[in-house]
Formats: sequence, C-alpha cells, structure tokens
Amino acid sequence: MENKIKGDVKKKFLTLPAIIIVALVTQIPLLLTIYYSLFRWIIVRPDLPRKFVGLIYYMNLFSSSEFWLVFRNTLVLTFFSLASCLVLGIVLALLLYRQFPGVGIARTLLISPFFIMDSVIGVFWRNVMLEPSFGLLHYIYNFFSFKSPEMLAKSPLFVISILVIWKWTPFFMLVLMAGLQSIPEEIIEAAVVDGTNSWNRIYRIILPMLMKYITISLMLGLIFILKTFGLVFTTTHGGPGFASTNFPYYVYRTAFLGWNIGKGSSIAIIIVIISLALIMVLFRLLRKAITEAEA
Amino acid sequence: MKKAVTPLIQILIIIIAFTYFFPILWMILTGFKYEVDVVNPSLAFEPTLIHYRLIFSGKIFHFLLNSIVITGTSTLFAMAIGVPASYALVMAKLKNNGDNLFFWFISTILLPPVCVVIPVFVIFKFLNLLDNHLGLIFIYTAVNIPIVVWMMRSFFKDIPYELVEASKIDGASEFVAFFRIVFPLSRHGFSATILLLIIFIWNEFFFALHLTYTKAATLPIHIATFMTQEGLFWAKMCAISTVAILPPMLLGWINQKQLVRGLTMGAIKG
Repeated sequence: MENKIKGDVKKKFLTLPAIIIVALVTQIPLLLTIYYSLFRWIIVRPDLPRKFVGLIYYMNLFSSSEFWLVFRNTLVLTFFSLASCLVLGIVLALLLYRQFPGVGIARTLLISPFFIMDSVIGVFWRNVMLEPSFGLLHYIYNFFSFKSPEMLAKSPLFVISILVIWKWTPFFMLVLMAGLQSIPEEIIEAAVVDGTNSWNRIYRIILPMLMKYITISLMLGLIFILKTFGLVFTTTHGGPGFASTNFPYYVYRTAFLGWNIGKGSSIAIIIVIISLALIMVLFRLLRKAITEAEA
Repeated sequence: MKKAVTPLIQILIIIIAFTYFFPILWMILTGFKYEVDVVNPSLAFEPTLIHYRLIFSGKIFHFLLNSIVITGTSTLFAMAIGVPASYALVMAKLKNNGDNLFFWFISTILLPPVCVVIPVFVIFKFLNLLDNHLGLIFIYTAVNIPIVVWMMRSFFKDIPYELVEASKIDGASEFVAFFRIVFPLSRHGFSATILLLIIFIWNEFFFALHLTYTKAATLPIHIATFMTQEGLFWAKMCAISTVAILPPMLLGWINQKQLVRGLTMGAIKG
C-alpha cells in the first residue's frame, strides 16, 4: 500500500515537464502581452523612447472605426463560415453515412481539402482559380458568357469565407457521420415504420440525437476559424483597406508591419477577452458533452 | 429492412464529391504542365516533370527538408513530454481525478496564438532564436503538448487500471507495465495522435511566418512568399504545392478511421 502511494507521487511528477513548457509558451507571454500593451513602444521609431501610457491604446481602439470594422469582419467571417459548415456538413453526413458502392471514394475525395495547408489554399485559389483574366473560373464565366467579376477585390471577405468553408466542411461531415453511425439502426427503422416522412424523421429524431456531435464540431470549428490567418495573408493581405482584415491579421499588421508593439499587444488582449467570452459559452457545453461521453 | 441508397443519389454523391475535390486535381495537373500551357484550360497537354526535377535539386529542397526535420522533431518531443503527463493524469489518482490540471491544459488550446506571439518574438530576438530551427521546434512542441494530453487521456482512460495493477503485483516495474500492457492497448491512440500532430505541424503557418525568414522557413512560408518573389510561375507553384499537400493528405486518407476520434480530441469514440 505504502509502495503504491509512493508510486503515485512519483507519477505525479511526470506532469511537471509538460506544465513547465506549456506555461513558458502560453502563460508568461500572455502576461508580457498585457504588460507591453501599457507602453508606447514603436520599434521603427527609436526617437520615441519606450514610455508608460496606461490604457491609452485601449481607449483609442474603442473609438476607432478601423477597430470596429475588424471586429465586424471577424464576426461575419466566423459565424457565416460556421453556419455554412454545419448545414453542409449535416447534408453531406446524411448522404454518406451509409455503406454503398463508391462511398469510400466519395468520402476520401470530400475530406481531402481539410488536410491542405492554408498557404496553398490561399495562393492557389487567388492565382489559379480566381485570377480575373486567366483563372479557371474566368473560363467558366466566359463559357456561360458572363463577365468574370473581380471577386477578391469586390467581396474579399466572402471569398475568404468560401475558402474557410471549403476547408472546414469535411471536418463537420466527419464528426457528424460518426454521430449518425452511432445511432442504432432500429431507431431509424422504427421511425420508418411509424410512417413519418424523411424531413420529419431527420428533424425530430436524428438531429436531437446528434446534438453532442453538433456541439463538439461547432466548438472546435469556432476555436480554429477564429484563428484564421494564413488564408487572409495569402489572398488579400487584409485589403482592400481593412475590408478583409480579421483580428489575428490586425495584430500582424499593427505589430509586425507597423512595428507598433504597444498597440498590437492591446489588440491581442482584446482578442483574448472576446475569444474567451465566445468560447466559454461553448466550452461549458463541451465539458458536459465530454463527461457524458465518458459516462 | 435497411433503406437502400438509390442509384440516382449514388451518382449525385459521386458528382458532388468529384466537384469538391476538383480544385486539388486541377492543382496536381497544372504541376505537370509547361508554363506556356498553364493559361489554357484544356486537358490535352504534353506532361512534363521539369518542375519536380527543379524541386528536388534546387533551393526549394531546403524548405522541404526544414519542414520534414521540424515536423518530425516537434512531433517526437511533444509525444515524449505529453504522453507521460497524460498517463500520470489518468493513473496517478490526483485530486479531483486530475480534472483541474486537465482542463488547464485544454484552456491553453483555446488561447489564440496572436496573444503570445509578440513577446515570443521579442524574447527570440533577444536570444538569437529567430529564424532558427530550435526556436520553432520549441514552440511547436509546447503548443502541441496540450493536444497530446487531451487525446491520449481519452485512450488511457479506456484501459482498466486493474490490468496495470495486476502486472505490478507480478513484479513488473511501472516502466515495464507501461510498455507491456498500456502501450499495446492504446496503440491506436498513439497513431491517431501522431497523425494529427504531423498534419498540424506540417501545415502550421502563423508561428512559422512570425519566427522564421529563410534559413529555418518551412514549406508553407515558402509557398506564401513564392509568388511575390518569383513572379507568375503557376506551374512551378502548383508542383511545389502538390509536394506540400501530399504527405498530410495521404496520411489522412489512410487513417480515416482514427481521424474522427483524433479530430475531436477523443471526445468522440469513433
């Protein structure tokens, strides 16, 4: 017995290296970011010495129209993408969860975009697909004798959303498919015998049983889509103007293109607060879902 | 009385899947074209391997090598540090079942990377770690440890504690018990976790962009800056992109079954 307790104490120390390294890279920089956000510190302006300015940057941000535009862009990009991914994911999962000849190939083709790095998606779509005079979509437009619109200049945020949706729908499909496969066949059969029609069956029986899976896919989708950066960087660089700048790219523009460390840091801190508020709501739901899955 | 999928719906599904995949196919095909054939969307072209020869002989190979080294090393380190931690979380009978520590690890995944990158950049600059393989490996190891902990915990939880106890009564040390009992029972967890880390790290863009320039830059960074540096070489760019997307895509295709549990971090037992 004594031996066992000793063993447990020893095992406890196995968590230490992980705790130290994770704290070094997440907690300490977070505190430093808060600290930096209180200083005027512009790397490219050595003539302006580092100076404590308090909450000035926060005040300025809240009263700048640029900040609110970026805030709006982030919300639009995130929620439009999440909603579309969920709807498309449910439809695809319903089509593909059963076995039939060719389903393996269809699934393999459909999940592929998920594995592709953002920089390839962005560079390839901007140049080869959407390029206004030689891109592939230009030929398709021409074939139907439309004039090809300059999508990236006219509706940059929409194009980025489409790319996010293209990449993330397979993830939703995979998770929801696992959910559908976990519903016992008899339950769906019973609904058929009852004579309920398809839509009714999906809405009243299948969707409620999928709730856990929907929550998990939304939660993880939210975490990842809020971080969208590579796609913005490689398609529009946040432009024209600030039309397609989201929060992560706003920090990059301010701190790494404008070298304004203080302002960049204060934006980063606002992002943490907003993200955590959004995620906390869904996190509660996820914690419940995990506990239920393990019960 | 299983309701069959009608042939019409089958054909529809295949068409949808093919359309969805088409941009990737187009990219792969374009990589085999001469630059002069690129703007012509016709499928009748004379294929060439010229771009691939360039990739494996020119300076692009340097970025490919960086990607391989950094992904391999970071995955190894993250597993080496994360697996013992999650094993201890499950087996060491911590207070509150280790839940507080576990959810602390998860909460770090929720932290957006933008809110740590500025100090990390400043510190790396001070320590001369910018554009250095070790710096990027350190960051990738650290940000992926919580993912390892999250996923492996769900697999270790499935192992009956009595089995481990029994082997220890038979005289096996903790270490031997782990490799004889725990590892074989959770090897799907190991492969799913490693698969996920390789995909995440190989594709990672944000930290690599901020912390590297040329010496330690990985493929995603090279591709993102390629078009501005080299001009409009679509075919060459498509060939590099194909090389960059194939490893994670092939891994994902082969391991579809483990992917679901992996992607939901073990929250769903796929």
